[in-house]
Amino acid sequence: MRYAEASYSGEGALERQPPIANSVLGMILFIMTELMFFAALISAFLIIKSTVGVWPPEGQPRLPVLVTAINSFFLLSSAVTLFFANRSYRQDAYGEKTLKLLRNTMYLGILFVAIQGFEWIRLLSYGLTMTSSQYGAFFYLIIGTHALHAVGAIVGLTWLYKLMKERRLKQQTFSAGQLFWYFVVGLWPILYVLVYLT
Amino acid sequence: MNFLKKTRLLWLFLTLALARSAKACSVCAVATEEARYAYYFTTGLLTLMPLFMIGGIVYYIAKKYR
Repeated sequence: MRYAEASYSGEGALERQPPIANSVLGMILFIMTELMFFAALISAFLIIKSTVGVWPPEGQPRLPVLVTAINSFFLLSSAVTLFFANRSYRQDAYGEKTLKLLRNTMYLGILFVAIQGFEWIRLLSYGLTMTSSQYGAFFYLIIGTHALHAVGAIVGLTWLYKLMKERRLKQQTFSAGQLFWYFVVGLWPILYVLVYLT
Repeated sequence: MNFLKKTRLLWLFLTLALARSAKACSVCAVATEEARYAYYFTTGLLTLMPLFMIGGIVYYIAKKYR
């Protein structure tokens, strides 16, 4: 809310609203630290990759590029459903449509993590482990860290869903949760291109 | 304290004389062009990212209050 839109409280004192809601600002700061964390991981990955002659190293299993591309589509779709969930929330806060869209977002997120987990089991059976090579170490470190964030975000969405069902969800709480999910979704294409395609 | 002040040139000299080069550069061992670019890119990324992020928030809040 702009300064000009400030209002008077009941006692007559001028009450100025913050330009960004506290929970949203807190989430933005948290995401900033997370971005720096991933930037550090990506930096280490790029430097190690550039110093090794052949990448991926010979004798190591290749990553499932196509399946992960399809999986990426599910994750990106979840951002779209969450966008519409928030829009629906603004129009009809606790309507069935909002609940359904939020539920679909959660399902798409769970599907993404489940497919990732399935692919990991296959890769482990092919011999790609944390200790098999730098390739394996970086793959599990970077993609695993993202998967942990995705799981955390799904837990967050479940909490939002619970609050929404109980009709206790505030707009700023929804926005903060939405931001974190967008962070998880937005980061994925970068990691996919760096780790899977290069 | 006085002793330290009087002998500061000696300390400086000793520090310079005894210092050895630190082999902390992660890409110096492999002097390929790709490694050099990766090093420059990541240095730029890690240096500029926090500045842009914090700057972006400050700019947004300042613009809202203007």
